[in-house]
Amino acid sequence: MKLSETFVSSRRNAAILGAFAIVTTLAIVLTFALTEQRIEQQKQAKLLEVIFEVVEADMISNAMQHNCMVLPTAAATGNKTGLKAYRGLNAQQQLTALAVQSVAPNGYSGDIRFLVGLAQDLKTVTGVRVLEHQETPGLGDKIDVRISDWILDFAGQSVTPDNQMMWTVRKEGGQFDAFTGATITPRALTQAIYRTVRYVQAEAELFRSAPNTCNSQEPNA
Amino acid sequence: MSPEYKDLTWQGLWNNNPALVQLLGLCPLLAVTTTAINGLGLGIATLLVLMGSNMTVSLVRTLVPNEIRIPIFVMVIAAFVTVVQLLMNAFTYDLYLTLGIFIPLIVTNCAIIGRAEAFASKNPVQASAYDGFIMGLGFALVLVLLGALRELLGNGTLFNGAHLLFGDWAYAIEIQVFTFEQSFLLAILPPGAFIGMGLIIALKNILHPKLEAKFAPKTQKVVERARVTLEENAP
Repeated sequence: MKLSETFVSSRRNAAILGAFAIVTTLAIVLTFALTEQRIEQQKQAKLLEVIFEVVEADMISNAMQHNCMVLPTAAATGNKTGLKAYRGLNAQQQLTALAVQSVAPNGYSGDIRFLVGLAQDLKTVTGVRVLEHQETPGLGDKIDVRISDWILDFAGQSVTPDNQMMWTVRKEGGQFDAFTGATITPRALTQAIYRTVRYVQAEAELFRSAPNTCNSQEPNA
Repeated sequence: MSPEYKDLTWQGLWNNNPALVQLLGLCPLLAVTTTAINGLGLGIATLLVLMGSNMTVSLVRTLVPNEIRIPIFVMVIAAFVTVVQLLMNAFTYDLYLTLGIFIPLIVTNCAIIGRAEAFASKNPVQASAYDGFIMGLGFALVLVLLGALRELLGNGTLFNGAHLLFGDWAYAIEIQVFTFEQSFLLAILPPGAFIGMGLIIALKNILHPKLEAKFAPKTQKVVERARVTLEENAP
């Protein structure tokens, strides 16, 4: 084959490759655009389902799924935007329960999004649930309450400035079990819970006073 | 069943089984098969994706020049898998929560690109779909078998977690066969997967002559084996 022929055929192949890249990318972009809103709704519905699993229901007298604030972007919650915290109030309108959405960015395969519930003192964890993760099935996915009840161990634990050492897996001196064959996942989650709660404690005033942004715009609440 | 489909069935389920003979897709296979149900979940997801990707590749096969077929197949398959993941996430959320975690594993599955290259790029849509189905089934059966083996040895249970895949009635088929004081870790950890896989392959080789005499299609057409050489066989 002469050089010019090679050149022509490479150009043709490059064009075909480019065309396929454009078409496949368009297909993904289109599907993403069409499903984005629905996926968001599904996630929101799931979030609302678990809010009441992580807080103490007898401490609140409001419909706490309708009282939320959007968290500012912070390293403690994985540098994500649009995370929310839901606030439970008692009859005197005091903050008695808090459910904070957060992200552990260092899971074994990507973000672990979770919800952590706090009692009135903002120290005691009343419950944690994982909302979304991509951890390895059979190993890391035991953080999901449907697979194992590991995550229930967090209820009743307290977070203080000087017990960070306790908030990791047992083999690193902490108080939480790791799974057989998967240490990264539970460690990431445990440490992220600690960071999140410490962040809430540092910004307590913000969580008490920020205006409510979910009054009525959530149709499926 | 026409001879061609008979042959595809024989190849996919036994003679050229993607897991036992082609040894493709070992990475998800070894990682996920800690229980029979996990194996089944990955098996179903792989089967569906393999069918879809085979059909898509077969549809575009006439447009693709030979020299650049591999990158194009990779793009087509990656796009297909991503679209399926998004659609599942949007419209079947409960199923997504159960099967969704398997999907990222499938993108890395060599069985998919292997079948695209060895079969779908040369055959019409219908046959490619059947090839995807039967290869996926062959893969899924091995996953379930290996999962069941490891689960039984490691935890003494069978079909633990079935309710996640099938709904609440399936609690009934979750069996505790026997109980250990301490679970048998070797079976559950990755070495157990390799050992179990080796045993299943050995069993396959023992049974092979008998089954070949009985089931192999008489008019043995030469089917190109999709054995990918070592350098290409990324996990």
